[in-house]
Amino acid sequence: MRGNRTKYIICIFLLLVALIFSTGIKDLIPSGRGTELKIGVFADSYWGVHNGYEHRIPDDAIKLFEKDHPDIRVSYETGILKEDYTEWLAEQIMKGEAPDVFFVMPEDFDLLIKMQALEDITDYVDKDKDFNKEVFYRSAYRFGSFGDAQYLLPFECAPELMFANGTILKERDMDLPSLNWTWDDFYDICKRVNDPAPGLTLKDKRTEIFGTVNYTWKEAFAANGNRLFSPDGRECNFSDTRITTALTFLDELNSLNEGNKENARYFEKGNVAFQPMYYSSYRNYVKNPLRESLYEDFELTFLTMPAGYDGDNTSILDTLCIGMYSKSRHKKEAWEFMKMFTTDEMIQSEIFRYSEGLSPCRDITERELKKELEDSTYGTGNINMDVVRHAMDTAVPKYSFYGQDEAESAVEYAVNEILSGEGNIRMEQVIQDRKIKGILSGE
Amino acid sequence: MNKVKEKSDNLRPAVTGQSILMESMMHLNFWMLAFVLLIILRSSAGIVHERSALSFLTQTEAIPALPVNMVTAVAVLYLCLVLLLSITDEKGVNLALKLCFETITVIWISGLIGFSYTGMFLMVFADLMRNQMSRRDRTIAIIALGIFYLVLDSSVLNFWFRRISIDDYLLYYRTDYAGLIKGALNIGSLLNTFLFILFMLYQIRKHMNENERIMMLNESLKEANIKLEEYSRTSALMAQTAERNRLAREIHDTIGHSLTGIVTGLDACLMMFDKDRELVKTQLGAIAEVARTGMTDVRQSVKALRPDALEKLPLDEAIEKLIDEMGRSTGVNIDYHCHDKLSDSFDETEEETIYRTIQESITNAISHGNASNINIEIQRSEDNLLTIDIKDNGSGSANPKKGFGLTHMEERLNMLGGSLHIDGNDGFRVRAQMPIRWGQERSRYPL
Repeated sequence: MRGNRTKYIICIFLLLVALIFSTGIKDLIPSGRGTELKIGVFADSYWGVHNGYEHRIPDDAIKLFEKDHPDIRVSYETGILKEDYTEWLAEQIMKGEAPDVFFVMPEDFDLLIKMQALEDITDYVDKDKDFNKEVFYRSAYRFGSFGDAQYLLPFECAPELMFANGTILKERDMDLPSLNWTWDDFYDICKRVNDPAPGLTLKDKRTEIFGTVNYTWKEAFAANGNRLFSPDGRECNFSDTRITTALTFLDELNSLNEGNKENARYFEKGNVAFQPMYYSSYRNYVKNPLRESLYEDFELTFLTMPAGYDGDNTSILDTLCIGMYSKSRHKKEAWEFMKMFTTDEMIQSEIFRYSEGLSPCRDITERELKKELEDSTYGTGNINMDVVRHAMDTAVPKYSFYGQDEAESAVEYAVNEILSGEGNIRMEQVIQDRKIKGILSGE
Repeated sequence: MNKVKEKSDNLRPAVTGQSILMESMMHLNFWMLAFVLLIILRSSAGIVHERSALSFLTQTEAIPALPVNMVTAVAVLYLCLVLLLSITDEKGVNLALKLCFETITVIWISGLIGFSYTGMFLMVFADLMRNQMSRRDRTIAIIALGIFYLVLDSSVLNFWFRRISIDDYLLYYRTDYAGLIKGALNIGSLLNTFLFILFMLYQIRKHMNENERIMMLNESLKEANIKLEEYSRTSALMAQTAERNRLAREIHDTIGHSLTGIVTGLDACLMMFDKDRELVKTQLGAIAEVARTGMTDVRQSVKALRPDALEKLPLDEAIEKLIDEMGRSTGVNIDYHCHDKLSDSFDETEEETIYRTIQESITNAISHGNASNINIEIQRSEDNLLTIDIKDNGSGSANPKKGFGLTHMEERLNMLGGSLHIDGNDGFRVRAQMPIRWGQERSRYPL
């Protein structure tokens, strides 16, 4: 009996050891070397531009943070490219070395949530008195929420805007559309721009002016108030009537171009009146010394997106966010860093110098854009504050679920089938809806 | 009896066989776990190395445990399980607790490796089966364990809780290698099951042997029973013979003597009838006396044999009635002092013994000692000894010889662990002592 008691005591001890190792309690024991915060960032810009600034913003953020928190050291792994970033993060998670705070690519968001790798920061948001979520554009902030919970804070964002060739419109004696312009206005202008100038033969039409390029189903569906996919990408409502309207509109718009939609370079050459672009692409164009020359001979300006019949002047918003690792040992410090990184004025204003996006903080963006307008840094000027404000206020987040590329190409295929076919749009919609749902559910 | 012993010796190899099987299962499960862990470690390192971590995580949709932590926890838990299994002498609640402990450990281990291998459950099953417990408890335990085993083994839980199982890790390997590994795992599992079946066979054999032994014991019990019955029949016969002897002696002692005296006296009378009538007259008077005495003896004998007061009354009252009757019929003064309540303190044999002792002593005092005063005292002593003192003022006897009555009395007392002392000086004195078995508690509170 005495022997048994010893065995039981050993067993309980062993169970405790197992508990410590299997639940990660071990990781909560302080290492004694002071707090070391790891962050996960990639080199250069999120907007696909190798701008040469590499880790400029994170570096400055770390300097600032370490100055405010002398007991915390912040480190990161350098030289990770944006393309490799997700794989790198996955490896770190597998190796148990995931950073405490890291950038989250929109398409990884739902996967990280499913893996329970992201900390729910709703509590921090609600309880931290120094933090006010109202400083962010609502659309950018909503990007980081899933269900009722908040997981991410926006670091940098860019809305899709309608870029217009002001010179063409002026030549045709047309005013720039208002903030609340609609599909009808859009179609009207395109039609008028598209009409061959009197005296031109059909052969010359190749070098003619076009109404729009690159206005796709994504823009049309968003404008008509339709969220095609559910946030997790499992559901889709392609058979919605608003889709029907949008498809009909696209069909009409396409018929104006009559097979001359091959090349977006037309816009750069000044032959196209409208093209939707992300604000970041625009900045990249205008900042890039090589490309700047392309826009020299016409007046480039941007507008809100045209409103659909059943929708609003809705832009699609792309946002880069940062999140906290759910198994981080230093959640408090991680939160402090996230907060500083996303809301500090100096750091956020650096986005306008070292990146191509906009700050998700309303005040900072407005101030910086105003400053740029005054300084006239970019030759083209005409940064319309109202447009940015309107676009940011009505924007819907870009889809961010794993496998969205497949889902989007399935929709692309379906739209092309419908638009190129002669069949009834409603009927075709139902057929394609089933196909897309099949792809989404992985069949 | 020898047969039974031989059989029980046969059981010993079965027990050893079982413990060998249990140890084999422990070994096998250890290697199985080591193999599973090795694959997990190897493939997670490989996945990171070959830059396919993202596709792995996409597929598993869960954060894999840190390999080092996993290995440590599994090793520690397995050690714990082996320790628990090595405890074999628990019973009741402790046993139930031990089994719960084991189950938790096994669930934990298999949880850590994503329920890739659950063979350890069979060891807990085996441990459950080798222990003694009631049929109900065993059924409950088997059902509970069975449910756990089925739920975990069928990976139903994966529906709610995404666990990374060995199948996920196997995707890292080429299909043919994965098949090979899977095959090896299956063989291990089957071997484990096979060992378990062997264990159960041993268990069943053990049970059957036990049943056989019980049946044999039953048999010999029956035999013994028959012998006992015979013995009781014989002893009844013997009692009957003894009773007959007693009757014969009684008749011989009483009527026999009287009749002999009467016959001899009458013969003398016949011879003297013509010579001396006066003498004959005297003689006849004496014979009549003898006849009367004989009649009294016969009456007493009949009374002694007849079912009497004792059968109808409690002991106390029966004794009082006896004394009262004897006193009135013989004119002898009998003083009776009882310092204790006698009823309900003794069983029938004891009551009979007490009653007969008193009856016999009074009879003796009157018929042999011609006593005119008899003093009876009954008391219970500290050491639970009942003492009956019967003293008379009769002629006594310098050298008392135990006759039939006294011997019988002594036998009865001896049978109950008591004793009999007689003393013939200064009247006759009988002291009978016997231990009190019933009512010992009550002896502390003299009534």
